[in-house]
Amino acid sequence: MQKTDFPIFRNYPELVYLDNAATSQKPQAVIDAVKDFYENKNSNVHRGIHSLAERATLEFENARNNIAQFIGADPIEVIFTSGTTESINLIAQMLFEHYENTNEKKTILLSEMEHHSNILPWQLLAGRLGWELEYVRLTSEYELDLEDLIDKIKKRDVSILSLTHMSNVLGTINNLDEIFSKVKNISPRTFCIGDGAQYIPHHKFDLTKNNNIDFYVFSGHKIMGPTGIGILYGKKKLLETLNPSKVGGGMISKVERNSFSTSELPEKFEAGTPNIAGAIGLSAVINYFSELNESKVENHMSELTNFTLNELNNIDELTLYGPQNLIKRGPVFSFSIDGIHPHDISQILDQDGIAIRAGHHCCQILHREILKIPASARVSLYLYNDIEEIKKLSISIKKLITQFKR
Amino acid sequence: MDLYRQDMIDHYQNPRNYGEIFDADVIIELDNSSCGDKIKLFVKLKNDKIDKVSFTGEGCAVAIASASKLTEYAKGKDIKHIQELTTDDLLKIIKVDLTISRIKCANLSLETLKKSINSVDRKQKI
Repeated sequence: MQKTDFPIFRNYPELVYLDNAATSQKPQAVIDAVKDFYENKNSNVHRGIHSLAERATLEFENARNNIAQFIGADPIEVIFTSGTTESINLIAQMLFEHYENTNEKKTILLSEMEHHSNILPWQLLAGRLGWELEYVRLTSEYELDLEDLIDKIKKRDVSILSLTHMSNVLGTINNLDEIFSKVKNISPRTFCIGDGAQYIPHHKFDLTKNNNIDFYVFSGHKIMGPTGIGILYGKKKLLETLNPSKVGGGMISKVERNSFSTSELPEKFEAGTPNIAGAIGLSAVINYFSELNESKVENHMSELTNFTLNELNNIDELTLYGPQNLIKRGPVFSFSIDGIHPHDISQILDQDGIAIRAGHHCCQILHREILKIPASARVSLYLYNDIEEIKKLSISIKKLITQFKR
Repeated sequence: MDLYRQDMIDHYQNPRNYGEIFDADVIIELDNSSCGDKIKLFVKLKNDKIDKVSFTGEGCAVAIASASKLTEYAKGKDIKHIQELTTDDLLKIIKVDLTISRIKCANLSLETLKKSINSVDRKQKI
């Protein structure tokens, strides 16, 4: 991996891009794959007889197979969506139909560290079904309070548990399979859903070793892929029983005047022309990964994460929100500096060519109720970042603290 | 022009007209949902002019310094003049150039001030 693999860094050699939790930069290979599709293979997938349509279908299904293999799933369990947000919305809608006619009042359980995308679809579902919505508390170390989680599972009839695999604010990693296994021992019928948007870009993840996850979702654009493509993984037996919440072209086997029957998995859940180029681009990411030296990337990222944590910890005026234990966190660092608003931090760093994010990062509940600040500044890393960039960051932060000193 | 020059930081750290006016004709609070900035304005009018104006709130340097400079400017001005102020006028008053993403930070106090005046104006007409 070289920084020059990424055209954006060829075009802006001085750019220090530390906003990777929002979206990642794209390697040339991914951009080329998308371009090649439109230039040489463009046609709609499925049902076409002509050779261009056959080629497009083959590429699209190869992309699905490649992605399925990457996460250890059966290709028919891999549904293409527009991203994490759409994936969670689709699951919530499928489950609405599943529970529509039950009269029991059940609970949907989330945590205080969830992104709005893993809260709002469940708020809507809870409202429509008349259910309760509960949030697992966090510990003082910004980790999931497992005692509170188990307590809530025991005391309530929890039908749905949806948790982030890695927090986009705190960097906290939740060991989902272990958590879900404990939950299922107590409450075997609870649907366990994992939001992998932040975890997947940084970790090798194999669903065959994570049997307790019923649904898993992530976005392509955070893992160097194109925007507008994402994955909804669901266990085969669940996807077979549940009904699609989106209907239209490409997902039927027979349509009559007043009814229809659906086609097989995975098309059943992919109404409308899918983002074919996006799927092919995401597949190119996996090929790009496979050409990298895996242990080298892992070492680089853990060294960089460790270095960033130390640098930020060494700035006295800065308050960091997230676990100190490297094993329990990924490379996302949110912080505040007393007397300097995060927007001002971000703007001043931008003057030094450093891109970071400021705001509530789609986690208002976490900011308002747990961190008790309206907004934070966030630095998030990816494999193309290096130690020199973090040194620049640290110098710029110290400089702006002096600028604001009373 | 450097946004974070000393006078901006001074207005941020020592905002003018910060506090409440107890006999205010109108008190209005607006917030910026994307960053959580909040500005609450207290306005007292006299003969179609702004007699007293103050604010409280929290926000970034741009939002607070803009409220500080705008309230300084607005004191004694005709209501009609304030109602006609544009974003460009505001940028001249606070003497900074802002990128699109930051204009809304500065505009928060102007929007709140206009809303305050309009609500009093309507009440007086009724």
